[in-house]
Amino acid sequence: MVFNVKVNEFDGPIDLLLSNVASGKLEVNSISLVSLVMEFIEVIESSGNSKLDGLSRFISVMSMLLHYKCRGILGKTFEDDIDLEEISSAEEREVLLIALLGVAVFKDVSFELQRRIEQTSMTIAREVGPDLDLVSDVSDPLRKVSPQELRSVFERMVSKVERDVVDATHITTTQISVREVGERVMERIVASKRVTFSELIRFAKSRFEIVVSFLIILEGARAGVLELEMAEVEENDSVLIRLSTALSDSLYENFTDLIRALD
Amino acid sequence: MQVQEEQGLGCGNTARSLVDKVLPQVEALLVVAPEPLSIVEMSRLLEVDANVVVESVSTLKTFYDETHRAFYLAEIGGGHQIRTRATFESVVKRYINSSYKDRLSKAALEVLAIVAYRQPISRSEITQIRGINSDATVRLLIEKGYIEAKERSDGPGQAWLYRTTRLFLERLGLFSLADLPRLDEFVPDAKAVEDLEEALFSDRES
Repeated sequence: MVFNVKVNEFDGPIDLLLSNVASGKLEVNSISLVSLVMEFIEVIESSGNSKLDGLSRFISVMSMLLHYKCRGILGKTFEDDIDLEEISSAEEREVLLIALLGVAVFKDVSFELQRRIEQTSMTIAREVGPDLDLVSDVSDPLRKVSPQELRSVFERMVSKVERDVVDATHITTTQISVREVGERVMERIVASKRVTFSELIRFAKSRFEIVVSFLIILEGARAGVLELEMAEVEENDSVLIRLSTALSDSLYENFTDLIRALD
Repeated sequence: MQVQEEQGLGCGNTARSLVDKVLPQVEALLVVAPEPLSIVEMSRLLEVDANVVVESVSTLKTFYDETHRAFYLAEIGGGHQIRTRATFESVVKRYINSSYKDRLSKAALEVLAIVAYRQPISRSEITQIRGINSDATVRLLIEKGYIEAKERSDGPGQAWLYRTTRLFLERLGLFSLADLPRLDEFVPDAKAVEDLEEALFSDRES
């Protein structure tokens, strides 16, 4: 069963697609593997053809494409890797034979290890430690540890450890709108009366929030809602941001309406 | 102990008298030590040169052998340890009423062999060599104290790398990993390889 695919400018059998990817003629990162799988499932379902050979060939090709894609993501070039497609049948046999011989060697070695373990177990080590009369001379390993320290060690051992959970936020930043950032910035300025830019963006979770915060301040200063003042904060020259002293209610509301409209 | 005089230590009177003095001290340490003691450790504890300890250990070893004592001085786990001779296995075990044999399954022994010769090695590499998932076996060997994971690989995923422990050396009666049998002694000869190749590919070719 020949499975033809259309990917970008390529139109042909999937084996040729793999060959083009392997030779570097086609960029693997531009190919959606999920689309290929969906396409293949559609073909299988519509034709009712689910012969094992065709299915296994497809899985084999897909695994190679996935392999190439992973290597691309990890920054490895094709030259770094043995191209399994390039391995001839004779070499394939050799690889299999070497792998089997490796297993056989370690299997034989394991018998020798077992023999040695049994041989050693026939002799018993004298490991009784010092005579009872000498025990009092052996220094107590816990002599420098106070009961409080022991207690804290015990509490640490039984306490629940919070572990970092790897979830979707590690690969996709939480989406936040310009309006939300703008509103937060204005809330913080109103609440703090005078605030530095560093303090304002302390809780920012992404570069996007920082950039938007900066632009909101510039726009606020241009519209006369905010005032910027140079001042020395903790021995550093900083720009303090505050609401304009001549700010009217209507001007403030117009500006907050403008921020709301940014959505 | 008369043995020093009989041995002829091949050193001056001063050196010999030092060994005479240190030898029973070395023996005392070996009697109370619950695990193998290294030359360096004994040298530090007795505050004498390592050569004197080596000489004392060697003398004790010969003395125990020549006087047919029930125990001998084993070079094991990177140190020296007094152990009963294999001849008295049944008698000693009757007394302690337990078996020292720590039976490992075939799979566990295979994984142990791979770790011993290829250390440091990751679980995936072990699985690759055996062609079968070995995670459970690796865990078992860790629980039994034969292998340990103390470092991570630099590669993607930073997998744990496994090494054999001192207990591994002790259980196998080895002083160091250098005492492991050479791997090439276990490589099948050409005839065996040919037979394997024929058995593997004859069906396919026919």
